[in-house]
Amino acid sequence: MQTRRHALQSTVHGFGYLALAGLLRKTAPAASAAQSSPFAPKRPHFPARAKRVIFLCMKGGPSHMDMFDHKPKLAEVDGKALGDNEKIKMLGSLWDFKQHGQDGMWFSELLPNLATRADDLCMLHGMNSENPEHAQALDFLHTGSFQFVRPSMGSWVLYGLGTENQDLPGFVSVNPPHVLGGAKYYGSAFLPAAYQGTPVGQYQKNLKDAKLSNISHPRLSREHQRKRLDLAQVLNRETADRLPENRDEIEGVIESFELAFRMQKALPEVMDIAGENPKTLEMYGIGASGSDSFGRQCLLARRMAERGVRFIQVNDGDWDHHGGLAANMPKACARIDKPIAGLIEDLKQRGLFDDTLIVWGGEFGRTPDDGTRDGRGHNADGFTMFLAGGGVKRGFKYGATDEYGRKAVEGKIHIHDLHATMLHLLGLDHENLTYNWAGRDFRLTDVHGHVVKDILA
Amino acid sequence: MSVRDLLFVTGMFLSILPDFHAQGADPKLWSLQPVQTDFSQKGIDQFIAEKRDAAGLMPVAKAEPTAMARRLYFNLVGLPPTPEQLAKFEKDGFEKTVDELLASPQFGEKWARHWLDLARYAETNGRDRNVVFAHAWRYRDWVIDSLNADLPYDEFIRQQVAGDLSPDAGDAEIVATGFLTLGPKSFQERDREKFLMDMVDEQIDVLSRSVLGLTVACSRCHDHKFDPIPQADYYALAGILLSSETLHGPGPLYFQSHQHDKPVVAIGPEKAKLDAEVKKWRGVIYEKTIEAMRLRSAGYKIRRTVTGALRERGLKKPEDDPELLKQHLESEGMYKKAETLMAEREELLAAPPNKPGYAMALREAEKPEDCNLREGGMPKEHGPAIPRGRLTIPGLPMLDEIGEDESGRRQLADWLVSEKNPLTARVIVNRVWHHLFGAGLVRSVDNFGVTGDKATHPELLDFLATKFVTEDGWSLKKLVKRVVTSDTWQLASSGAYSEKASAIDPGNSLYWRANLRRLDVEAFRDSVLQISGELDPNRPENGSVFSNAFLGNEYGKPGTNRVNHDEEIAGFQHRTVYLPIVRNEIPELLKQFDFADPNAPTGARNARTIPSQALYLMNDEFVETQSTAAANRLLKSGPESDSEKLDLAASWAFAGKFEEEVKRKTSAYLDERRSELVSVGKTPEEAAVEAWADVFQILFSGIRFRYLE
Repeated sequence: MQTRRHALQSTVHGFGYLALAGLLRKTAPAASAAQSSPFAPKRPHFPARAKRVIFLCMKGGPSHMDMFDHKPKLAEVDGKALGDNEKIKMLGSLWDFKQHGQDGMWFSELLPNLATRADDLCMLHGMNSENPEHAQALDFLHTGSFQFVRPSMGSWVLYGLGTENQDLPGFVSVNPPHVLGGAKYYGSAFLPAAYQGTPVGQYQKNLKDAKLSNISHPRLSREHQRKRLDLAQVLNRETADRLPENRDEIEGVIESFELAFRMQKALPEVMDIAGENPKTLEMYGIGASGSDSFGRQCLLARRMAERGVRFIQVNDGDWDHHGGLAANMPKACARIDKPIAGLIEDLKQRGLFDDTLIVWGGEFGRTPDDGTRDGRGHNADGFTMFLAGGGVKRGFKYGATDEYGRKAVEGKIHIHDLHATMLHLLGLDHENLTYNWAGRDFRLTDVHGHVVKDILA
Repeated sequence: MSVRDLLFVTGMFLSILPDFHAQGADPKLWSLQPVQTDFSQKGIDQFIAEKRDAAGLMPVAKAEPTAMARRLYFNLVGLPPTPEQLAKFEKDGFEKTVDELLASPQFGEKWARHWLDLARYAETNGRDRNVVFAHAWRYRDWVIDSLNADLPYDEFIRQQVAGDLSPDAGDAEIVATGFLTLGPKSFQERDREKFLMDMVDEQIDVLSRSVLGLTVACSRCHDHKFDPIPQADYYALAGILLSSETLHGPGPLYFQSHQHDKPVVAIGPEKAKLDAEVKKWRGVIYEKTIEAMRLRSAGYKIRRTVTGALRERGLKKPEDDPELLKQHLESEGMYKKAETLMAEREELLAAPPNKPGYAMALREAEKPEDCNLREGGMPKEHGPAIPRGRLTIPGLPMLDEIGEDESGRRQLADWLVSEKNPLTARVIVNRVWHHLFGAGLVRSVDNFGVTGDKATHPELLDFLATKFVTEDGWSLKKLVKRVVTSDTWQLASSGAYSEKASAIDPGNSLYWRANLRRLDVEAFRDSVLQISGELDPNRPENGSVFSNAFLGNEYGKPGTNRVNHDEEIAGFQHRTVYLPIVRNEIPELLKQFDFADPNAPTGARNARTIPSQALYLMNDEFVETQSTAAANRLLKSGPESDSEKLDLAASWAFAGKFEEEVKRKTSAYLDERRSELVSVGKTPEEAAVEAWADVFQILFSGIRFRYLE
């Protein structure tokens, strides 16, 4: 590891990119391969339990007490106003719950397929976050901060570990939302621009229709295109040399052209699912009307995982059920139920499950009571997420909310803890994965976060 | 410099860093405190120097003249200087050029776009029915014209909120009120009350974020979580807006009617007469359409009875029974009549009368009313009525009294730009600073609340706000001039002391150099077109390609509800500000390069660096076509030798010269490419165009062209 002293001296001796990068990523793990690319795979701080992450992001705040967090007591007080406001009445879940798997994990009837995977999941009932507003909570979930623009977790992971496939982006966000924080959720903030995520597909549009704009040149041969790009990069490097203060940003642009050139071959291949077995498609719910789109997103995640993409975020929206809970919750669950069960099964069949960490959840959960009688409010004090795969216990439920599902009371896991644990599983010490910027070392977890040892396998 | 020096300086710097780590609520929100008006410092440079000196930082030198000219042109008019303009700049000097650029019509075209980002300007509705706002462009042009005329900012805001209520309101003042009408709306919403509450919510959001830098819309359901904005204040504003009518269209040329339609307003010479003729014409068409539909439906009913009877009775054709034949003929007659009517309708449609101009606008409602607070923001959960305009945010002045028979928009407009309102001037000077430097003194340009950033230079912010209001009479042009003529703005982006300074202040929040900034997508596209010789500097005929979409249909071809907007605008050669903006169908180029999503106000665009941008630059047809056009232009009008041609191309593209080694490599590339192409049968002329097109593609995708030093 470079010491601060070394780093500072190197700035005095000249300002090559490596020297600057060295200064800035003082405590990032050392690159094991050639350091010239910011994406080269790097050794983690300690042996990793998972090599990659698939983050299934449920934007809007899924209702935990209608999916995983069974609250019989809530049904008993259904229709009663327990607080000061007599209009805000308790609302029992409209759906039946059953226990599944060896640990007796609860699932509502809306998730019949996921329930069959109970013994693969690590269910976290004691999740809590900082702020019950979408914009802030989504910022917080993605970046660990709701006040400032900070790097997203995928960028931190890419910065810490590089990536294993140099022909595809190391951090991809599939169908990312363009609303609220939008690009921030895959942004790199002050980390070098190269660590930014690459969006694929459009929010809430079927991946089937996602066009890969300009993925190839209509006329030029690959060889000639390479020559043309070489000359362009000569010009760009000249600019980089002239403006050392902006080297990181300029290198990010240069790198994006190189990646784009390689992606021209690799991306259409990874997006093309024509060669997939019909049974596999069926397993993901592809072709079925409710689950087709999310199924395709999950299948793409597996295809990218297979090819060494480091951090894959799969986005789903429409979980903000203030009203129309009875009508819309079944639709939302049907959208993801089969695809996620299929993803787990598929990863297992291909031997990828053991070193892939699946993270499922939204920015917060929902309240047990509401004024509408057909919806629920925002609740950041207690909700459910689950992990699965690399390095976490299987068929294991952890933590609990109070009798109505309002507040986490046991096995509490804060979003900072989730980040710390995720990094730990990837072999990264969240206190040591830092980046020095504007006179201070920054971390994904700021000055917080504890690795949740109880859930580690 | 020794390591010890560096550490020493770092320590000093840290001690004066603004407290941007502070968390939690601010009991006395800084932005609501009165603007400081008393300063010992004389100008921008002094404020900047004080903090910079305290950190032990030295600024780099001034930018080179060519870099300066390029920066000035892009910042003021959004276009690169031509070689002739470069020469003129060197002769005339900085200040004279500033004045000329501020006076040029391109100034408004560049700066209007910044305001249009905040006004979430678009020419369709988006959301559930992507109805074309065929008259939105008038508002766009009003913004451009107002900036060119240097309409004082207080008046600029006042007209957009209540222009129709000013004593001498003409068409321009009415068009200005289009501001609050342009938002995306849920036209499919069946519940009128919910529709209105949602529309007003969007209006409050746009107005408060753009003018005040406050997120007042957060108070729809409850008191603001962070800022001192009570829920009641939200409804005090909602009452004003609900007491006004939002005339968003699509009518009167729209032939289907929806419950939420609100006809746009006729403007221009003879508007009353022309509007009456249009309405009459529309009425005739409408009647013919309705009658034709009635006849078809009645004819169909009879036809069905006849075929049923034929089948039942085992007959082959109506002629086999006199009664059935009579019915059959009756039905055929109805169809024929309907056909005639539809043909007449088509004829009428093809020959519309002269129409007046139309504008989306606000006007006073017939019966102004206070709005009831809504519990939890639910439209049906009525709480107490909140008097219109009774705002209680601490630190802000009171609204003037609102009469029973008026909405209160006039008072709201006056209140927004009152000199006692500490937010409005601070917010706009910060926005201008943001556009000129690439970052605001307050980084969160749309959020001056508790969760936003604090100013890196709070005194400078107040100094600029004070000068802007008291000395410059809210003149945006004078403000721009004040900033660009400072030494701080004219620094180079690199130079001596950089190494030391980079380690201490990599984000350049102390302004020891100029930021490297990517060109806005508008400047990128406009520059490419200027260099290729294809730019049409005029406004599009009739304002917009949508201005003749007088049927006011949903966006898309009839029946399909989708067209390829990229194809529709291929070949559009006007400046990018005039590109028709269709919500949810943002052209590929704009989408890739971080155009502001027109669904919500945007003060600071993203600046992503992603591979799909590189793919656009390497492969898209626009870049190819324009590179070829530029090559042709260079070969036709340019000098003889490759070397001179390269000099000219470099001057076009980045107002500079190629570095020697780069130039040598480019020459070699040209030679190789030309002979390669000739060897596969191209003529030398064709080969030259194609090889030079490659060079322009390289220039257009290069950092030196796309970024501003």
